[in-house]
Amino acid sequence: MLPINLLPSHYGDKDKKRNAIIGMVVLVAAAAIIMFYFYNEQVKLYNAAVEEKTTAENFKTKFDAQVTAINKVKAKIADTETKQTFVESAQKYNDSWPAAFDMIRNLTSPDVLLKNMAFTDTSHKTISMAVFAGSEDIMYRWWKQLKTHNDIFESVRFDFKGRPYDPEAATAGGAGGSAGMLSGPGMAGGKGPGSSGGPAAPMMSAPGGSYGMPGSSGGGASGGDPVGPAEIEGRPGVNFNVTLVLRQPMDNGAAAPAWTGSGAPAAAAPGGFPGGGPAALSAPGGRGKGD
Amino acid sequence: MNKLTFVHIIIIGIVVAAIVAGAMYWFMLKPKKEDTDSTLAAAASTRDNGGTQEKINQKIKELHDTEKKAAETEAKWNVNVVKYMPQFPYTDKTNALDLYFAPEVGRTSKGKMYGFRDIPTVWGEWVTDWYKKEEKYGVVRDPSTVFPIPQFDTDPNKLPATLANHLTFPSDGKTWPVRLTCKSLDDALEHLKRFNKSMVGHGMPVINNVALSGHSPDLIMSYDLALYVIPRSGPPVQEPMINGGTGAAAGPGGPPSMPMMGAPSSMGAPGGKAGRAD
Repeated sequence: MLPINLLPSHYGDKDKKRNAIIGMVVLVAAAAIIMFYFYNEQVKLYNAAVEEKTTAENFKTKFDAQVTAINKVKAKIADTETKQTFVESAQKYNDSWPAAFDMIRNLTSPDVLLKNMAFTDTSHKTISMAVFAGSEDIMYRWWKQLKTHNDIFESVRFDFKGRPYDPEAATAGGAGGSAGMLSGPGMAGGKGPGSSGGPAAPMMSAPGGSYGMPGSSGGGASGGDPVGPAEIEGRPGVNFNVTLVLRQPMDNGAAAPAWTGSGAPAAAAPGGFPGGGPAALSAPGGRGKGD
Repeated sequence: MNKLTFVHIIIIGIVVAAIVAGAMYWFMLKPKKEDTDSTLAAAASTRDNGGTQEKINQKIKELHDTEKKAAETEAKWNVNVVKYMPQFPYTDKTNALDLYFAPEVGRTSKGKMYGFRDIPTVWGEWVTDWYKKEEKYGVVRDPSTVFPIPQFDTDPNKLPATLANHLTFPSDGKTWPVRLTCKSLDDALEHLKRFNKSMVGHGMPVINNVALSGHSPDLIMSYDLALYVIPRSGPPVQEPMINGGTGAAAGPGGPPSMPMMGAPSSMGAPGGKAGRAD
């Protein structure tokens, strides 16, 4: 049997509307409750964060107190520490000189004669030496030996007299000694007395000569020492210059400590006397023989 | 109301629910979330800047280390100050005029008492004597090597500035050029090593520009030398009743270490005499 609804279409709308209103009110309330729940959760998170921050701030206060205490100790000792640092660096600097020269001495062939030796730069990295050796072969062997110490030296440079062909000198012979290539000391250093003869050129003996302590530049520059055949105490040989660049500068390249009284040690020592100080090399280096 | 249909009510209900939810999110939840985030960020920042127990512990250790290091530094300095620095007879309450003339600083090796103004002479002689003693170690000072020291400024009121916290010999920014003849390289190197050990009580010696030339037994060694005195006390106080300005201006300190008429510097130097305040 087929059921037939004979009621009008608007029959029951009132109930539906009421139910819908109730449903919607419930919906709105539910939305509010849900949001309030989330809000409440957020408040809890917030309170936890505040607590976390408060804890961190309490720790920070204690931390700051420790920092203050440390700074106080440091401030109290700062003056003394500066003075002590100066004395320690001065001691170290003073001791680094003999240590550096001792090291070079230990690497020097017993067959060569060091005529002078000094640091030639302010960072104490480059050592220049004027050297005499009995022969070029000895020089060559020493060079090879130094070259093996690449843990100590960045570079090892030798400056010595080459073997040019000079027809004039070869034919003239001159009053100035043997003109033969390499054979005679007359070839010394190009400006030596080779062809002009005469007495020994005062290679390193004159005050103000090539070897001096140039003020604060640190050590004498010996780069200009004449090179070439020479004779020392009747023993023939060759003069040459050596430039050693250290991998590790003396005293780590520190400048001479000086107490300026400003509360901090300063690198200073502007001293040094104008060139020519130690010049005098009594060794008869580089003497050219006229005959 | 009667005109509202079921669908209208549903739509209105959903819209109202959305508005309520949105408003609560916008005005309550979101601000609180932002507060939470900023509070957490602040807490993290505070932690990063030391707000943790671990970092406090580190600082406690650092404090102990610093205190220990400070004590060690103090102890080392106490040794070095006694070893290298002379004891001058003044404090930060001593009158500059009295210091210049009155107190006896000490006794020379010849037994003579000397005053503050004699310090350049005494120091110069002491350094010369030190080198004389080096001769027994095979190191001979070249006759051209001398140790001049300029006189102190004859205006006593300049002393506080001079002694503020340093005194340099031969003088500020200057060094003595030294040239020696050594019997051997060993002697030369040992000589250099003795500066820290035996050149004591007259300031910290510093050598520089060491160079060697020649060969044994006439090895020439040269270097620059300076002595740096760090006074143990604060500077003396100025004497307000004297005015050395006029005199000092004419020639600060007068000629260096040239004793006029045999007198050791003191008051006779030109331009150095103390003026009068009135």
